[in-house]
Amino acid sequence: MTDALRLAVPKGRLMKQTLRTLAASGVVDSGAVDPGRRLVVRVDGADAVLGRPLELLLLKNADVPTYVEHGVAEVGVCGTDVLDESDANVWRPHTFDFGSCRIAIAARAGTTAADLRARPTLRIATKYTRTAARWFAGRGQAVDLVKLNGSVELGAVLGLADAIVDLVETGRTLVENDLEVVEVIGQTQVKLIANRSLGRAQAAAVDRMVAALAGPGTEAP
Amino acid sequence: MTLDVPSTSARVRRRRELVTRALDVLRGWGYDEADVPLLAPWGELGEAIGERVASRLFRFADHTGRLQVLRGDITPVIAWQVVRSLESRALPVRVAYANRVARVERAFASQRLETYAVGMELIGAPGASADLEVITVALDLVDALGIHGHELHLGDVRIARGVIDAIAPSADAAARLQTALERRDAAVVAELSADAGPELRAAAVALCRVAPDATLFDRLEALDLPDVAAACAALRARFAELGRLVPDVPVVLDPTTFDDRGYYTGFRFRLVHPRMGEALGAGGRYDSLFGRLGRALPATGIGVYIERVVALAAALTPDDDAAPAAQFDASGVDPTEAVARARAARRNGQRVVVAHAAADGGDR
Repeated sequence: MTDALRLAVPKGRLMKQTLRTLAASGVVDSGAVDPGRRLVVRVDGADAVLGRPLELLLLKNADVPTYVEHGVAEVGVCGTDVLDESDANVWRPHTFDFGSCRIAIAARAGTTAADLRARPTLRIATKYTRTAARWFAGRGQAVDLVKLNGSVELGAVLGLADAIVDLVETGRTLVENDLEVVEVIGQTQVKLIANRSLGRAQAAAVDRMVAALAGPGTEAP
Repeated sequence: MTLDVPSTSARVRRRRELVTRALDVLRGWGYDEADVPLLAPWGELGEAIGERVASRLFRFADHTGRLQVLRGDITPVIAWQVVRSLESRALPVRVAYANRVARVERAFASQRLETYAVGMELIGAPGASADLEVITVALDLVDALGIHGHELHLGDVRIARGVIDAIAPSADAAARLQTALERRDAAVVAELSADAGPELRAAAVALCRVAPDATLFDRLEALDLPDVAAACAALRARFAELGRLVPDVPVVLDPTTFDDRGYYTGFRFRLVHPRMGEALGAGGRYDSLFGRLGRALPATGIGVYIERVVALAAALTPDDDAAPAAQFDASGVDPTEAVARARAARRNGQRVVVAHAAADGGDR
């Protein structure tokens, strides 16, 4: 058994932003971490703040809540889009100031919200079926949901669905495919998540990480 | 933590052994095993079962059209049984149980529908001594199951509830704030309590601490919320008492505790192990459940998630019953002789396996 605190992070951009933020907060040493093809990477400098080493588990975005919920990783970094979709039973003690994104309904250019509301049964293509189902149920509108795993825009472009529900960062992909945002239904954020049954030593290390991320002078929760 | 899952037969055997040991410990403390029915009438129990739990249970109409509920949460069923038999019992009533239960629970890939519950209920005993008895028995039980390195986490559902009620202007707002606090989502809690006074808001945000310390209790007790202050004081008192009673078990205070069953009214406790991602057991005081069933009685109890204990026990104490079995070949000319030799070996305490002819080549 390792005594390191395990942080599950999605590979790619979120990992880099997370490491930058941890370094800026003094949790780890600054300097690039190049994991190569390794999936478990020890990061230098964490002992001083956390009281134990820090190990990164490099995962696919959608797998992060699973590892944290079942305690394989004590903490993780994950977007609320993924969290809400997985319904993972984890804590969310810190919100990062990067990675925020709109989650929106988009359709072919010129389509209005009233057009979509007027359809007796609206067909929506999305990766986020649970989130979309909750939102449309809240509005009392019946929808057929089509689960897609990528290039969701194509669903609306090729007529598989009347509209899509997807993350929108700059909106450039939508414009290039002759789509546009019809309605913003939420805002996603990137959260530090934690297992709910941590032992006291693990919890203390996570608490120190949250305090460091909140920054000096900011009262951590 | 990473635990290897024990093989099915080893897991079943180990569970049976652990359940027997657990019931022995409970019997030693005066808790006799109840015969918990598999089915109970929903019409009589529905009021007692919280909405959150009810949505995870299996209900169906029986052959007469009466709605029945399959055993899924044992505490309300035992309460229902005890209320019906109180005239013949002296208080307090001590009850143990060990049963398979059916309810929908989150699992890795989908949902788990069956699990195994072992626990106890102390009915008709109010106050600290009853809580301390239940905790002590639970710790004895876990010791007897070969678990070490566990912690006791204590909370009280009245603390976070009191803070929520002081902040939220409506039931809907209270539900959203509770969800945010259950997630320890400090940013959302801060947003939802923006209109509260600064001390109250700061206390609500502080309830999101992953590792709360004494300063959080000071802050909560300083609020003008007498029920919250009383619950904090009681929790601190239990902490001190347990420090004397079970000095070898680390005790952790966690004021951000909720009623996830729909009947807990105060003090709550969980058994946590740093190698497990889930609690090994959980329980608490439920003083209003019996009132809903027609007879007001204070009660407290705890349930142990035996499947998790089995997984952890297997990791902490590797199975020593892995000695290879002696093989006796009954596929040859004299199968009776092979079985007779196996029987003789069994009488000497050996594990045996009789090898028979393969199905496609068998002649009998």
